[in-house]
Amino acid sequence: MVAYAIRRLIQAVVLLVIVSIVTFILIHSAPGGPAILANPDLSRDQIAQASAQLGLDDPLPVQYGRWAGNVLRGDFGVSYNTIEPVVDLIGARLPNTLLLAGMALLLGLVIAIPLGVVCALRRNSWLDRAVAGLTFFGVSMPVFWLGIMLIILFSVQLRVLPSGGMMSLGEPFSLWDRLRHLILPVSVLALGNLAELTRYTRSGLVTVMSEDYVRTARAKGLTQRSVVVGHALRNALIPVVTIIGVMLPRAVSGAAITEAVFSWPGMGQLAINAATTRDYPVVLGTTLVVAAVVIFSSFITDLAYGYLDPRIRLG
Amino acid sequence: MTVTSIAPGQPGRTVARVRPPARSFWRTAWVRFSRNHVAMVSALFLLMMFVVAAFATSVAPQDPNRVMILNQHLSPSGEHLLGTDESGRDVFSRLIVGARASIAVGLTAMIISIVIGSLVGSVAGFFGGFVDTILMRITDGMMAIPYFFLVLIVVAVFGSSFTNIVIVIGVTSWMVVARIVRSDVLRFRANEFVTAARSIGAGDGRLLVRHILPHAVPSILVAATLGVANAILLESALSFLGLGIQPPAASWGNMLSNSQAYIWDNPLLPLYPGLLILLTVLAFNFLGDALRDALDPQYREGGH
Amino acid sequence: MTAALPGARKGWTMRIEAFQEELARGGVQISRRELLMLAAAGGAALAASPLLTRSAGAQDATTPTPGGIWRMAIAGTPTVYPVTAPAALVDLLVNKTIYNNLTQYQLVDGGIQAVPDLAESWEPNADLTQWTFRLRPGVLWHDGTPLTAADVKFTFETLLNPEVNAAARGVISSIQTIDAVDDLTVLFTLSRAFAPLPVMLGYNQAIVPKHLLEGQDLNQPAAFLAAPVGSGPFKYKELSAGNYLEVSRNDAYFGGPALLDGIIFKTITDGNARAAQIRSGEIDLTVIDPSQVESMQSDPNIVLREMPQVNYYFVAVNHSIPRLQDRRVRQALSHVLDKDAIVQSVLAGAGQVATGPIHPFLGDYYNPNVQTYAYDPEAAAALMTEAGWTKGEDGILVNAAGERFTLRINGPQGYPVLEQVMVYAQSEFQQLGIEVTLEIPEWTVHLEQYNELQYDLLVQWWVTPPDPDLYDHYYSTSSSNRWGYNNPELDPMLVEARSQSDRAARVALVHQLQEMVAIDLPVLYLYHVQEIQAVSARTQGLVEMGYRDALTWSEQIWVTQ
Repeated sequence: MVAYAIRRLIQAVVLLVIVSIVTFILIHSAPGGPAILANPDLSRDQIAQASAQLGLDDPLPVQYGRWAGNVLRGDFGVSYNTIEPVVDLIGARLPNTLLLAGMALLLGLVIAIPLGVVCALRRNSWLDRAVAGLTFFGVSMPVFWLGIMLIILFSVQLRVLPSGGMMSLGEPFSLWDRLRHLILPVSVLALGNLAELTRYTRSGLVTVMSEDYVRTARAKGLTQRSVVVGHALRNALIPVVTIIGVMLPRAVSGAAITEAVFSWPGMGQLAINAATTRDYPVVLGTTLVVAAVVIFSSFITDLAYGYLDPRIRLG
Repeated sequence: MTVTSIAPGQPGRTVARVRPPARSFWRTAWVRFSRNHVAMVSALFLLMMFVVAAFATSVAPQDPNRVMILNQHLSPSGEHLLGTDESGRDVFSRLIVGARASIAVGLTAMIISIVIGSLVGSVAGFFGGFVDTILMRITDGMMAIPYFFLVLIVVAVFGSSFTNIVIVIGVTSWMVVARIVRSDVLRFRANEFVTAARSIGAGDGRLLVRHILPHAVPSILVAATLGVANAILLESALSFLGLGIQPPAASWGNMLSNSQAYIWDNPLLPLYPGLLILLTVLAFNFLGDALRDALDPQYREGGH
Repeated sequence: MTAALPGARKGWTMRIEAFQEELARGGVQISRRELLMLAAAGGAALAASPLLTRSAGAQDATTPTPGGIWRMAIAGTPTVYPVTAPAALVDLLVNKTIYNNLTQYQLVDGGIQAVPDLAESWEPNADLTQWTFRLRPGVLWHDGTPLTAADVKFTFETLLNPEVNAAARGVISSIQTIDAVDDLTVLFTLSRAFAPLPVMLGYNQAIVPKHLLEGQDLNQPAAFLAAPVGSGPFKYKELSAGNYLEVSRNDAYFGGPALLDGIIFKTITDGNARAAQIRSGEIDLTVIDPSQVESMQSDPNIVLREMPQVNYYFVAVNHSIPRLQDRRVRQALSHVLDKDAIVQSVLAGAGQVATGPIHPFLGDYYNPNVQTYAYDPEAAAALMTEAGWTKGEDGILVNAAGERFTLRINGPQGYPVLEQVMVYAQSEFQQLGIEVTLEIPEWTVHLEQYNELQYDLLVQWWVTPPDPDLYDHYYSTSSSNRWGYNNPELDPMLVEARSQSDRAARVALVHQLQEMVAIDLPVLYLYHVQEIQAVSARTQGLVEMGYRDALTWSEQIWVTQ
């Protein structure tokens, strides 16, 4: 177990290094330099001086080395645009994105597991097909389209939910207020996950229900309910756990659109803005951090996988 | 928001099925498939879309890029079946031409991802050992990278031409295909007919292409169908961020995105492209689901 | 000197607005002689009654009620440090409420006037190379420390320090030394005569506190950024990056305490989201796109206001390309662009057709009697034929040498309005027989293409000061002339127009210049846009100016309960 964890950790570090190098090369080979240097008001001297100050005149490997060295010391540099430390910028937004993505996943599970169970138990019934069909709508709709529709309905017409942001400004923090702001963006994100989560729960349960120990439990005369809840579900959820490992990274990066629609102050907007203004330190920082979150979550998923299914031996 | 729902077979849980893709296999599959009404409707709808897209320029009643700036937001009429947009262009014609762009993005990106995925998956599965380890590490690594994030950065940085969009989507979505193909190749590599072919002197490449890969076609087909849906949605998402297909070319994504601003004055304007995206993606999803049922009967009956 | 927000709908508009700010700054070359009178006379006279000036914009006669929080949309995360580049619009908006300049200026009857802010009065020496500014006594920083001449000296030395990556150095580059004569008197010594100094000192040259910044890394003063201190009507309260910035009333403000308890600047990057939030009552002010006007007109909770901007939008022409060097070709191109239609449809009426580079806002400098180019495809076709271009078999114009007439139109990504203009131009030019491609790269690339003359035609705009000086963009060897335009007839007149001290003579010259450019068309003039503000019905006392200038009077804003 420990050896496994260490091996995964080494792999993770190697992966992060590769991600950072790829991002570094991509962003530096892009046409157009940092927006702050494209200012038509600056004289050529001023631009040259600013460029030198930012260390942009050095060869790329030198720049990368310097950046990587600083990162190892926990220094991600300072945003060209807002002169704020990148660590602070990310620190302010990462929790928001995780909150949004996490809640969406949670809501998705809360809805999808019962749906999946029902579908598995009534396999190939009209209900099963209807659920599959309906959940497909969720994944087939452009996210921003759905988001704007919901805003029009709930915020502008009915005026029951806020259209964006994380909190009512000018009011003290309250949990209820935060929840109200979460409802629309979380629903939009969760809807996109529903089809997959339902399907995996369903197929997981279908497999498990045909296994010997479940048959035995049934033969003992246990009720359907206790068989499902007591025996089958835990094992049926194993593939669901796997898919969560795949979905979390998607949720974190895919939240960018939802964030834009609902003015949610998350990582997506930070990264997009940084990429288009060639704010190199922020681009590198956000990519690295998101990749780290993703790799970490897949690591956790694997551990959970081993825990849920003792037959799987890690290592 | 994405659909990549083919989970790779869990190692150790795979039922070793010997399933030569004989004619009877396809016939049974077709019988199963044709009984699925939703799938048949989806297939017909997509067929129609393909035809429209293929002959877009001849089908479109008007020049889709002709701007009549004072004719903005005209109501539907005989001349403009669905009215005009904010620049006085014929919405109906733009939807038709947009179908071509959106479907082309979907298909091309899918082909790229299938080619890369099949190549990586089959080479890894066929040669195994060190090659397999390296290729699968790369695949895992790519899966770990937040890909929408990567797509955004690449498109933002290198510009959003059709080629760039398609390449980026394709290059970041081949991993699932690679895993599926690899597990299929692994499954069939050891089969008798492969051994037999080898004994009569078939080379690696020939073995792989002629004898093993065909067995992976059903899985690839399913992945491809869902991949198209995914790519179409992704293009619309990029359009929303201003990074999709660029004007004056029409795509459903940029039509939807451009019309967002008029949602109050002319709510039908965003409705058309939105509906077309929804229906097309939905059709691809239904189709993929039905294909899976038809080609892999064990799926609906059991797990993977 | 406000920059419009020409339909910046997509997110990350910060850089866009930053550019507008830079354009405005780049264009600031106010005629010195012209301003001499204004600065000396107007400035001194108005110094006597500062309060009068400050309340000039009040729009509502009812009794103001103090209290309440007012919320406005901004497009990015602001930096509350008015020294370093880039000074984006989001930064400027916020800093207007927190900091003060020495002067501020006002647009009155088409002229720019410097009026007192931190400085009470000022006077130049005879040859305009030495300026003495007297500070308002009793001004306190938000932390209670008195604001003195030492702060002013420190601020400008910081701005002029080559080690500091200052945003606004260009406009004050004539300053050589700054001396604190006593606590309330500052002496600026200039390298050359510079009449507009009082105006320039009002142009985003916020005074920063020496006692908190001295000895810090002035490019990145971490401690100060965490708790910025200014002297304005509002104090920095809290910043949640990407979310909001809140300022609260400064009860010790020298102009009297503000009416509002505070202002919240809410970061909303998406234009549709801004529109939705003003409609749902979650914000009190945002600038909107023409496309959003119609739907808001019927909303009883929203007041729409159109505020004039001194700007002009144009299609830049690359004069190094032979086929565009023919004046008749440029005239033909202008003839197929229906400017009236663009204003009416694309701008939803919030603008007017530009007949040339001078805004009608400039009063008698503006010459309406110049050659114009009404929509006339036949005239355009005739001009093209005259210039030697005839339609070939495929409908594309060809010249005697067999060269096909092709054009590439460039413009920045993320501007729906400009995109509409581009597809319109493409469509019309194609009707004329030109093969047109569009290129819509992202912002920094667009800028590079503009600066390096890498385009055929390029959609662009200038936000200009309310002064008719055309030298910078039109003089053949001026560094801001990025069109490769060279007109030997125009050059001497441009020089004369900026050095003419007699107003009537200058007006005549400027009129003549307008006639000349209208015929020669260095660029294809399109339109002047107006800023469209969507304001909540509860908002009162927001002066009727572009929102950037309106925030200079932020202490007057109040809300009905």
